[in-house]
Amino acid sequence: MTAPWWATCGPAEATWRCGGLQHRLRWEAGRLTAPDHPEAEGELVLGALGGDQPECIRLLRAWGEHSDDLDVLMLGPRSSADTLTVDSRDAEQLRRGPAGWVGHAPRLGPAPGGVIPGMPLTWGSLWFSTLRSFAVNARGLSRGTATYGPGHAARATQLARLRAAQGAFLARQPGSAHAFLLGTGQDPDRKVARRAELLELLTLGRAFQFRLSATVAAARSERDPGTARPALTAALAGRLAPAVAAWLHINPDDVSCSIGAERAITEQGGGRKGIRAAMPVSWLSEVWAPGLALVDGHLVTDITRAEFPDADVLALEVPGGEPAALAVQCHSDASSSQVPRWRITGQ
Amino acid sequence: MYRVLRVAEVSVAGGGQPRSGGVRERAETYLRLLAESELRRALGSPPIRRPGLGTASVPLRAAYRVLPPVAALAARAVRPLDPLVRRVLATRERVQGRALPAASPAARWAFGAASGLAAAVSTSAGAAGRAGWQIRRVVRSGQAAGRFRGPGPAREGLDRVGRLASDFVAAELIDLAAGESIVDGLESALAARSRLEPRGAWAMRRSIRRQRGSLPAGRVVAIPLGRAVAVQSEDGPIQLVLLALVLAQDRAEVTVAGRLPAVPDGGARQHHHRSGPLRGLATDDRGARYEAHFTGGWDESRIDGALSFRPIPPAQARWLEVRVGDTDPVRVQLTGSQPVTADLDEEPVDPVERFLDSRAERFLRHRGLPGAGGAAVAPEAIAVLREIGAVSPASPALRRLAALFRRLGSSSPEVQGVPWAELPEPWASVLDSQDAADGPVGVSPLAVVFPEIDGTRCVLTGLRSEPDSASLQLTGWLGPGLGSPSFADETTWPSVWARDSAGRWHIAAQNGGGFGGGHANLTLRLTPPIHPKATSLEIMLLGKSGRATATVPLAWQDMA
Repeated sequence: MTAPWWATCGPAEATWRCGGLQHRLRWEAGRLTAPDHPEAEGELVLGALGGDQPECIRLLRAWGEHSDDLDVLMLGPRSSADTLTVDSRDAEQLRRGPAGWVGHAPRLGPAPGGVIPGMPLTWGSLWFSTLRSFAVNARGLSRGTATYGPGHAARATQLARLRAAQGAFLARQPGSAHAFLLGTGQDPDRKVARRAELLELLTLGRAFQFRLSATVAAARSERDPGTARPALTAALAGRLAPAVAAWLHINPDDVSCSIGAERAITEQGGGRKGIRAAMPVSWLSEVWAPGLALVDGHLVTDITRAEFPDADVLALEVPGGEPAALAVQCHSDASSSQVPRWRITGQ
Repeated sequence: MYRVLRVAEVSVAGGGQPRSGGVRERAETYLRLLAESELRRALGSPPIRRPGLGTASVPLRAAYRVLPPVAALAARAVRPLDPLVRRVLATRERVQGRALPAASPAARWAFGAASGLAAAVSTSAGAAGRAGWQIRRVVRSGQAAGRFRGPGPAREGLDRVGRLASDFVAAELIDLAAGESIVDGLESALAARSRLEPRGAWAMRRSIRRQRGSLPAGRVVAIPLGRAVAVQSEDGPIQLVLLALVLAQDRAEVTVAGRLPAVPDGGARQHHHRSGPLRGLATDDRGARYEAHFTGGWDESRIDGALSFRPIPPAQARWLEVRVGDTDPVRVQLTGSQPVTADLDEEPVDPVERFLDSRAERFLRHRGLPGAGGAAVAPEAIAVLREIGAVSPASPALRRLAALFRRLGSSSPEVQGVPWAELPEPWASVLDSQDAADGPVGVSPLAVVFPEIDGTRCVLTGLRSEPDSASLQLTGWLGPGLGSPSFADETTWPSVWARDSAGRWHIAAQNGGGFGGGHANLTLRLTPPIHPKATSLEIMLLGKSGRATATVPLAWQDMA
């Protein structure tokens, strides 16, 4: 596809209570904005420096923080039939304490915003976090652009190297041990706050849930999966298998999915029952998230041109066949909470 | 019945060649795909409904809403008291049992709210935790009564993923953080779809507990005591043998084994404080005083456990006089003691091979227990290990397992096509003597300090022998890498084997006791019983990092 990944996603809008008023949050062209805060960028910076942060601005920042967070794909929807029941009370309950949600133990590596797990927030990390949020919210994301510069995986690798080189030494230095102690000092409060933040983002509604998932998938598809490959494989399988199963009227458990560039759906072969499906991670952002996985009995494997609500796609009618080029159009209001309905408009 | 996912294809790139990630990547991928599959399965069932409070009275509705934050505040306030408070309360729960709410839903709400609130205002973290427990119990009661649907398939799926995660962690195919992340992620995903009641910050607590566990710094001292005392209770005298004093930087305990008095009315004991008389007091040579509470378990006739002293006596103390209840004090010389220390053979074992052996050992341990046979081996885990290529039919441990099944006449599909090896001598011995009932009756105090194995430390402090079995008292520490008990099961803990001087082998299984704050106080049941002519016992701890062995003489003391 030559168009950016978000070209098949229509705009979406939600309201959020902010300073006693109902404010709008708008997603369009790959970015989230707060139209009722014309100085959002300045407010982001001020908030990071300790000033009051309006709710809308807090959500903008959170969106940026979670824009390559694998937890989004773990919690987020798997299909249009998969309804999340979280509401803002769940997030509040999680913040309050033990009765509520589970906190997720993150893997090693820096927390979003360049914060080392276990370290209290510093001016530097806040500033970095703010810049990241600023970056993701201030510009459209063209295809080929990761959500943030080096990304977590790259920074995790850098940090791991640094740890390997310096960890043992630094661990012996008074006052400098914490930052580089592997796996220690994880701040449970911070973890819970982060999870609560994600729940809040999910309460924005299903249109935003799919778009946040797409944002994460797009960010992850631009780099080598590295240690995230198992999580990305599961994220792909959790969404591709139901689509293939619905297409072929089979059990999703009979679909073996893998990450692969070949975009192929084939019979298992070798006397084994079931279907093999291989798609790149970008299939999630470009095809699945906009609701394009299945269109009029065809499984869409790729997008060749897109400008919402129109798109040219490659789609399979049967497993193992040659993909056909189709023109499709979205016939529902994608900004609503309804599932987008795509129809074939030409061959 | 389980179904093994096809994962081999998932872990290979388009060309079908295995990726460089290898077996660890395949293991994590398998577990994550299983979590996806279980989530999908749970989505096939209707969502649960949150408990409807419409029929409850205003105060009860208020209690339901207020209690969790109150309990949370109480828990935070008393966090510094951990782990002592936890252990005290755990003991109290074991002693008192848990009162069950009354039958009607309204009464259950009332009971839950009232007892929960009472607990929340008490001064212990455990009480606060129990407050939440009461609420959850009410929720479960409501589900059982059909007020809202239970989380059956979701909970089963979560348990299944949790079990396999635990097995993979034990086999070192994934690290603990990854295992917890996958299980917690599935739990959150289920809760986000109302397929599961969200539980109380479970992973958070688990992380905290993991960080808290640590091996004892400095020297661990174990001094055999072997002193019999009789402690008066409402039902009559409790006959105790003080087994050993264990002293470390973070704990001071006197372990005990005893016999409870026969109950005159034929066994209908009342649930009162049976450990009430088992309070300890100690003074040292400098006049300092130490108080002790009892931690342990009992059944109709026997009682095992430890008296934990606070504060910890300092290293400078020369002797302690320990008094249990109203008994005469027992003076223990702290200086010049020479505990038996085990020899360590640091010969690391392949973690997957060790895992398979531990499964076979679990089968040997539990096959005498009703309904525990096949489940103990975890056939699903073995099938998955084969599926992801972590183990091949040529694996010596798998071949030993096949030999065990063959000996037992079982045709488990997980070992089909696996050529069997020779059955190891200890396994064969255990099977040969499994029906023996010739064990001597008595208690033999021990004091064996074991070195660190697989991130654990332990001291064995006593052996109780009976005609059909024997039991060892273990005082242990869990290192920081072992996580909570949910991930620290028998597979994580080193296996304990023993061979008596008459040549009979014994395998140990956990049979009571508990974990808390990185500490363990366990009773290990030895099967089969000690040979009547045995005069010494060679005890072995087998782990992934090596094996430790110690030999102790047996000197039986009667508890009559």
